[in-house]
Amino acid sequence: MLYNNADSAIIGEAAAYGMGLVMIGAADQESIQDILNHIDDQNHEKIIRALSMTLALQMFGREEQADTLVE
Amino acid sequence: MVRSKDAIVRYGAMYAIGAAYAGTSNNSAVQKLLHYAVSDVNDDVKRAALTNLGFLLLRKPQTVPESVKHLAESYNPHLRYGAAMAVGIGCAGTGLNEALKLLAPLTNDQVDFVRQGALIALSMVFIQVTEVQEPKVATIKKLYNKMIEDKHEDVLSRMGAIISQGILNAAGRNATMSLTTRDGNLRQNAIVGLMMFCQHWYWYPMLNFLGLALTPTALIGLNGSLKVPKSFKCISNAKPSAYKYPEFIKIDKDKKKEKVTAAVLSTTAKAKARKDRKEGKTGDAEATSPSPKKAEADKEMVDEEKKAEEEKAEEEKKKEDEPEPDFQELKNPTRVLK
Repeated sequence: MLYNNADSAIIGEAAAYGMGLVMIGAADQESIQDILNHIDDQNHEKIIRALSMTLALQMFGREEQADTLVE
Repeated sequence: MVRSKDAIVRYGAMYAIGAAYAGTSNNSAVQKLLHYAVSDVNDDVKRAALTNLGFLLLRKPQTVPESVKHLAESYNPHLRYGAAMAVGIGCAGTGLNEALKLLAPLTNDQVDFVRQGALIALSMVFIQVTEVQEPKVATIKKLYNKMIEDKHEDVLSRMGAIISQGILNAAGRNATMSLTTRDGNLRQNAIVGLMMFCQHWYWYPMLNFLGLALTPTALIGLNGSLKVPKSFKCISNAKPSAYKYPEFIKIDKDKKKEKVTAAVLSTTAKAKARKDRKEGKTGDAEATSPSPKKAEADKEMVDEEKKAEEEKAEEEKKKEDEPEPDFQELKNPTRVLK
């Protein structure tokens, strides 16, 4: 897991954006839960931002389905 | 996500709403974004909420300037920036007049990043719009040039002007920005590209994601075997000048840099004098008086150049005098606008 790399926030950021771009519109429950847990553990701003963008991209085009996650 | 204590997660939530409802103009989603734009305590979240309004309303570009009009006059610069971006995204490639009315005052905002946002948004709206369609385009281009050259302008807004120049001339002026396909479906990669482009606030290299939102302005006729026949032609019932290539950046050739005379230090003068004395001032005679023949040849050359220039100018004048045809035959493949 690249985003477990504690040395560099940039690598974690890139990994998160990469996951988001690959999973556009996937709304995959398992990975969403995984990412949410990671956001709680992370304290690096860049990685958190990238991970929340990943969540946003996963919700692409999902309309109401996204509401549960957003709320 | 929206109830998270972490502002960055709330920021992500705004983008989640924008992505999930992109192009739907969903009323409750619009209300939600406007609500967070006004009520959230964090500036980043406010900005993101407004920016995403552009993604929601991209199918109804004329509603975007209307709905962010009041927030564009907010005291909070982040809201003004968000409003500019929303207009840039929602009206991308349309050349809407209302968008210009909203963005023009923001280009001389007090805050540097608001100016940057307004400039970028303007170029996104007026990409591939010709001066015949919207005469103000010339003013916008002049504004960009002025801002880039003005050394007293803030770095951020100059950067905005430079990026905007780049957007206006994107892909050699052979591409426009479009978030929907020609038949009105959403272009997923274009929307995601713009979303990632908006992250340039935190990291400049994200600017490159803008390329995903571009689409070529080309008409290519194909035959049954997917080849491009030269014989195919189509007629455009518009004056050729109405849709000609927008003019490229003109570089002032006349403006030569003034030669800076090097300061002569007393020590170098002394050294030179010493050297001269040693050499006994030989070889002075050789260097003077250039041959008169060469001067004559130079003169002739100049005359010829002048003649050529005059002829060119005359030809151009003739061209201008001819009435412009009302239609134009376009060869295959050709460049067309939306």
